[in-house]
Amino acid sequence: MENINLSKRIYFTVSSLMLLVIFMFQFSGIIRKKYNSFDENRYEKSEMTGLNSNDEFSVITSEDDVIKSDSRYIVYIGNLDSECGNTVYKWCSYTKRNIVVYRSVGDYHRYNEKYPDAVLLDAEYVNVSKDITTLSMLTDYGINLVFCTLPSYDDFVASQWLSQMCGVSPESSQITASGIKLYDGFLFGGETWYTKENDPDGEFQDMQLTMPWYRTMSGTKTYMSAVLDGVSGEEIENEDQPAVIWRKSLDHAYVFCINGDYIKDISGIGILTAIMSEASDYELYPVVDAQTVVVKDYPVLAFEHEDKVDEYYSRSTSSLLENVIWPDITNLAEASGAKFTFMTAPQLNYSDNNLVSVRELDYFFRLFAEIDAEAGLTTSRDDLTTVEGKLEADNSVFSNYLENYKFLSISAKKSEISEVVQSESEILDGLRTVVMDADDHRGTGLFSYIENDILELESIISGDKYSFYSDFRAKCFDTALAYKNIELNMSNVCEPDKSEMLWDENIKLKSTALISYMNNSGVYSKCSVAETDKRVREFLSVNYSYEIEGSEITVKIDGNSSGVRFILRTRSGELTGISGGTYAMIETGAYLITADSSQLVLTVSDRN
Amino acid sequence: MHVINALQSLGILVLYTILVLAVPAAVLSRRISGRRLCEKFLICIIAGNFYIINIVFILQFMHISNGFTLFLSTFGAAAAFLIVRDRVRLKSKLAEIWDIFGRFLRKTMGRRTFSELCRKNLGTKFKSLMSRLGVFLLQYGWELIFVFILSCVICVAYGSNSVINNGYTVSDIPVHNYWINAMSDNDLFVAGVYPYGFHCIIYYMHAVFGIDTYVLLRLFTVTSALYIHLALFAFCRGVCRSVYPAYAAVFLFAAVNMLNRECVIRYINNLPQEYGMIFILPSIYFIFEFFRHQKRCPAKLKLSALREYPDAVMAAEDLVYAAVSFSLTIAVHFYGTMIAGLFCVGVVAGFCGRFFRPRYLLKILAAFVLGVFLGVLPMAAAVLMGKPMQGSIGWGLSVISGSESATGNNTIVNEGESSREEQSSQGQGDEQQSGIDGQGANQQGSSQETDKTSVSEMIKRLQGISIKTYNSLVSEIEEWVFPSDSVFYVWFMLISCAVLIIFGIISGICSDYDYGARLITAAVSIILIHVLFIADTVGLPMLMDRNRTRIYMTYSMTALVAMDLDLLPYFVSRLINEKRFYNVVSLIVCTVVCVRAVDVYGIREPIVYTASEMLETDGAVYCLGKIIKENEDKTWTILSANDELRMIDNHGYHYETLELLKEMKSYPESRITIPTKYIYVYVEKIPVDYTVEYEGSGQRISREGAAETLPQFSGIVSYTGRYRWIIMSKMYYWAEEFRKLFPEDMSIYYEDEEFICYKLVQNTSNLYNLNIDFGYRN
Repeated sequence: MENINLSKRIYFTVSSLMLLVIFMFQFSGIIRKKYNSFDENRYEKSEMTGLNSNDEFSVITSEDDVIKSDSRYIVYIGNLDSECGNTVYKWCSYTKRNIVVYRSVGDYHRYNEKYPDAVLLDAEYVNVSKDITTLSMLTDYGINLVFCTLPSYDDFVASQWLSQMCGVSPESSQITASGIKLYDGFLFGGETWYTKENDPDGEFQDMQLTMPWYRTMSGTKTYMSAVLDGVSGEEIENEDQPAVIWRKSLDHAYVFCINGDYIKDISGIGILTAIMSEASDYELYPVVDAQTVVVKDYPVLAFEHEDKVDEYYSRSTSSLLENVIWPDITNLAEASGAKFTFMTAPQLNYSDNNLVSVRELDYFFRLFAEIDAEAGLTTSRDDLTTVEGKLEADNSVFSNYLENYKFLSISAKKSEISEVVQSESEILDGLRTVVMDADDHRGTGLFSYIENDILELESIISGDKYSFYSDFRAKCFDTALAYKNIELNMSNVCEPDKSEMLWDENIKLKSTALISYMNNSGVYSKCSVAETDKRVREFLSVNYSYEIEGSEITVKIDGNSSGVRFILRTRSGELTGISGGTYAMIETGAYLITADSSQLVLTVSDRN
Repeated sequence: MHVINALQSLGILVLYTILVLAVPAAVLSRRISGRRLCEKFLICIIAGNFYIINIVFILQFMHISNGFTLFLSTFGAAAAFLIVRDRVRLKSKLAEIWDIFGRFLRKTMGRRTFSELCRKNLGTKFKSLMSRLGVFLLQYGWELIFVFILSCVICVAYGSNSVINNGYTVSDIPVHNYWINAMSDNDLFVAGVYPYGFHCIIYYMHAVFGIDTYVLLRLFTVTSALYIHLALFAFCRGVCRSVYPAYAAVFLFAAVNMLNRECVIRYINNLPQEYGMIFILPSIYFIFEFFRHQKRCPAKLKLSALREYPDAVMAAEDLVYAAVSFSLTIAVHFYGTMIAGLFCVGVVAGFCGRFFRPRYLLKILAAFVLGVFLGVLPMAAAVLMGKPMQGSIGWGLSVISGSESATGNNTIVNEGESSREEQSSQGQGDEQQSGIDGQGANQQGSSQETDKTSVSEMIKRLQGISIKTYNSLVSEIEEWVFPSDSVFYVWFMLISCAVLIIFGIISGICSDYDYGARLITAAVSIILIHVLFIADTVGLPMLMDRNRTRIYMTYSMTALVAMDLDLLPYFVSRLINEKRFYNVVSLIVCTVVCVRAVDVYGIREPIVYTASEMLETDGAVYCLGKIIKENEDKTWTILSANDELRMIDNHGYHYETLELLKEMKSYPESRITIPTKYIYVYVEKIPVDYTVEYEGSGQRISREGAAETLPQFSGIVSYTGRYRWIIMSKMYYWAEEFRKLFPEDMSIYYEDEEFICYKLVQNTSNLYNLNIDFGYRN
C-alpha cells in the first residue's frame, strides 16, 4: 500500500468538519438555555383582559322584555331549577338567547309579533292528552318543538296523535341496547358508533342503554339510535333500531325528540345547538374556541416516596419524572396536538422532611418554557395542611427560586374554592382562574365567575380513561362551544402502590383517552389555561345580532369585537366569502369564524 | 354541452379512424400498395373491423377481455408485426443512431458535428416525407378536398342531432347498451346469441380508450353515418369509370331533400343494422374485382405458381376481402346479409357468362362458404356452449320461415290483410279458372283458336299483375320513399335499370365485359330490392318490413344513380380515351344533375329531433356526465325512468321511478330505502313522448297529471306518451314534498326548462324512508 502523508490541508479540513459537527449539536442547546425566560409567565401580559362578571351577557326572562328585545328567544315549558332547566338556561346564555318559561303548555301565550326559535318541552310539565291540540297548533304556526325529555311510553301508546306528531310507533316500553350510533352531520366529529364493534371487552361502554323503543316512521330523520341485537338471530334493520334523537318533519315545522336524559347533563347544550342548526338554514352562534388540557399535580418537586418508586420502577423519583414520565407526556402532547397546563405540586406532604428539589424546579420550568406550556398551582396535598398553609409554603419556595413567575391559575376541589378565593397568600396575587377538579364536575356548569374578577373553569372531561359517554360529551361541547377542558390527573404517579396502576399502563389509558377526545379538533385553538380564561371571558361578554339578506349574513357585534368567535352552520349552503374576519371549515356546512371588526359580512352560496 | 358533444364526436371519429383505417393501413401497406385509393379504404375498414370484432370475440370467449389485453392484441400486435416486418431496416437505422450517439458520448464526435448530423438526418427524413406528401396531394389533392367537403356535408346532415340533443334517439339503444355493458364482465351474449359485431366495436372503444359506453352510443352516430356513406362513395368511385358520379350520387343521397325523412333518419341512430351497411357494398365490389383479376389469370394455375401472377394474387385477395366483408354483414346484422345476398344474385345475373365456369364458380362458392363460416362461427360457438338465441333472432328466423310477419306490431293486421288479399286473388283465380273452363267448353271444336285465346288470356293476366304491381309500387313508394313524385321515381328506376341492362349487354359485347356485368348486377340487384320492398303485393313472403327495406333500397339506389351518371362519360371515354376529357364531361353531367335536383327538391335540413321526439332530455344526459364525474363510483343511485339504467352501469346504481311509485301505492306503510349516500332524482318537467305521441304531447307536469291513476304496464309502456306524463307529474310532487321535509339533504342539483334533477344526501348507516305521503299515491 502506498503511504499517504497527512497534509496540512487535509488536517485542517477534517478539523473544521469536526468543529462544525460539534457546533451544530451544541448550538441549539446553548441558545435554548441562554434565551429561556423560564422564570416569567409568558401568558401574564399577553392574556391580560379587563373583562369580568360585569361584562357578562345576561339572559332576559321577563316575558315583556323578551318580546321587546332584539335578541332571539326560546320558550321553555318546565322548571329552570331542574337539571333540564339548568341546561336550557345555560344554553340560552351561551347562545345569547332570551327565554320565556312556562310551567305548563296551557300557560303558553303566543306573541304574533315575535315567534320563538323553538318551544322546548320538559315532558314532566306536559299533559299529553290535554296539550296535544296546542302543540299541534304551534307546529301549524311553524314553531318548532323540542322534547328535551319524552313523554312516557304509555302516553305514546295512548295517544296516536302524539305518535304521529313525533313520527314514531311505540314498540317496547323498555329495552336494553348494546350500543349507540351517533350519525354524521349532527354533532361535530362525524359518525361515531358507541357499540360492541368498537369495544369488544365492554370497558368503554357507559352510555344510557336502557330506554323505551320507538320505531321511526315516514318523514323522520334519525340523528342517534340505539343498537338492539335481534332476537333469535333475526337482525333488526338499522332504520328500525330504537331511535334516541330524531326529527319529524311536519308541514310547517319540525318536532325534535330526545329519548333519554341527555339534556339533563350540561353536554345537552351541544344537542340543543345541533337541533337549532337542523331547524334553520343558517345558525350562527358565538363560541369559546379553546381546547385545553390541565395536567394536575405534575410535576411533584419533592421526592416523598423514594422507596416505593425504587421498589416499583427501580429508579429514583427524579429519574422517573424526568426520564419516563416527561417524555411520555410531551409525546402525548404532540400526538394529541393539545397544549398542556401543568398544575405543579411542589410538595404533597408538608409535614415530612422532604423538601422541594430546586434542581427539579429549575429543570421542569425550563422545559415548560421550551414547549410553551403554562404552569399553575394546585391545592392537592396528602396531609392535614390547610389550603392557606400550603399556599404559604409554596410561596416561600417560589418566591425564593422563581420570584418573577406569576401564577395565573390554580387547580382546586369545589369545596376549596372559597378558601382559595379568600386566601391572602402573595402567590395568588395574579390569580385569574380556578380550575375545578374533574372529580367534582357534576354536569351542571362549564365556567362562571366566582368573584368579580376570578373565573372558575370546570374540568369537564377526565382524560384518565376513555369512555363512550365522555367522548359523546366532548363532541357536544365541541358542537356548542368549540371548547374542552380535559384533566389529566397525575396525583399518584409518584406514589406507586399495588392497588394503583403503574405508569406504563396509566399512560396507555391516558393516551387513548386524550387522543380520542382531541381527535377532530383540527381547526380549534389549543390553549393554555390563561389563554382559555381570556377566551371564555370574551365569550361570556359577547353580544351580537345578525340579519340574513339573500346570500349575505351581516353580523353586528356589540362592544369589544376583537377575537370574538362564531360558528356558522348551514344546512345546504357553503361559506364562500367573508369581510371583517377570517374563517376555517370545521366540516361540511360548519365554519369557525373569527371576527376582526364589529361588523362581519358572510357570503353564503348553495353547496351544489 | 354542444361544444363538448361536437369535440367528443370528433374525438370518437378520430379514434375510430385510427383503429380501422390508420392501423390496418400501416400493417397492410405493402399488400395493398398496388391498389386504388378507394380499394385501400375499403380493405382497411374491412380488415380493421374484422380484426377488432374477432379479437374481441376470442378474448371474450377466453374471459380475459379487458382494456389491457385488447390494447395488447391490437395496437401491440400491430407494433410487433411492423417491427418484425421492417426489422432489417429498423436494425440498420437503430445501428446508425446508436453509432452516432455512441461516438458523441465517447467524445469521438464533436457537438457541432453531432448536431449537424442530426439536423441533416432529420432534414432528409422531413424532405422525403414532404415529397411523398406532395406526390400524394398531386395525385389526390382535389379529390381529398371534395371528399372532405362531402364528409362535412354528411357530418352536418347526420351529426347535428347528436351535437344538439344529448339523449338516445331510439328505444333499442338501452338494450344494446346493456349487452355491451355485460361484455365488460366478459359476459358475451348476455341476453342470448345475436350478431355482436357492432357491440364488439363499441365495447372495444370503451375498454381501450376509456370512453363511457353511453357516450359512444350517443356520439358514435357521426362516425357510423360517415363511414356508411364513405363505403358507398368508395364503392361508386371504384365501379364508375369517371371521377364525379360518386360525389354527385352521395351528395344527392345525403344532402338533397328528395327522400322521405324516415329513409335516412336511422343514420342518426346508433344501431347495428345501420352499422352493418358499411360492409354490404365492399363485399360486392371485391367480387367485381375478383372477376376482373381472375379473367387475366391463366385458366389453369398451380398454387405454387400463384406468386408469379400478380393478378392471381389480387384475385385471391379479392375473394378473401369479399368473404371477410360478407362475414361482417353476418356478424353485425343479418338484414345487411340479406341485401348483400340480393346483390350476389345480381352478380350471378351480371356475370352469368363467367359465373358458372368452374374457375370462377368454385372459388366464389368457397369464398361464400368462408364468409358464412367466419360470420357465423362466434355465434355458433356460443350456441354450442349452451347460450340460447336472443329473442329477436328467433323472430327473424320465423319471419324468414314465413311463420310470422316482418313487422311485429302489425302482425294481426297484416295477416288479416294478406288473408283477405289471398281470398280475393283466389276468387279471381277461380273466376278466371271458371271462365277458362267455360271458354274451353264452348270452344272444344277449334284447338287452334283455344291456343290463341289462352295466350291472350295469359297476356291479359300478366298485364293485370304488372299493372297491379306497378300501382302497388307507386303507392308504396309514395308513402314510404319518395313522397313528391313516386311515378317519376318508379319510372326513373325502371328506365335506369333497363338502360343499364341494355348498355351492360352492349358493353359486354363491346369487349368491356366487366363494366357491363357491373351495370347489369346493379340493375338486377336494385330490381330485386324493390321486389323485396313490395314482396307481399306480389305474393312473396315479406322478409323485411318496408320501414327497413326502404333504407337499404335508397342506399342501393345511390349506386344506381352513380352508374347512370357514369354512362355518358363512359361512352365518351370509349370514343376519346382521354381521362381529362371524359372527367370534364362527367363533371358537367353531375353538376347539371345536382343543380337541377337541388333546384327542384332543395337541400335537406340536418336531421334534428325535437325535444319531445328524443328519448331523454338534454339535462338528463348532462347531469349524468356531471354525476359520474363528481362522485366516486358505486356511491350513488339515479332514481329515474328507464334509460339511465344501462347508461350508468359500472359507475352507479339505478332505481326505477315506477318501482318507487308502485311500492308507495301498494304498501303505504312500508319502508323504502336506497342504500347509497347520494340519490339523484330525475324528473322531466316537460316529459318526452318516448316514441308515443298523444294529444297532450309536450305538456308540462301538473297536479292534474299527478292525480291520475298510476299506470302499471309491463316493459316500457308506462314510460311512453301520456303515461310518462303521469309518472313524471307524480315524481315531481314526491320530490318537492321530500325536499320540503328534508331541505338540508334534498336539494336541486340541476334545473332547466325541461328537466330537474334533485340530489338527496343521506347517511348510509341510517337511510331515509322514501315512502312519504305526497298526496298522489293513487
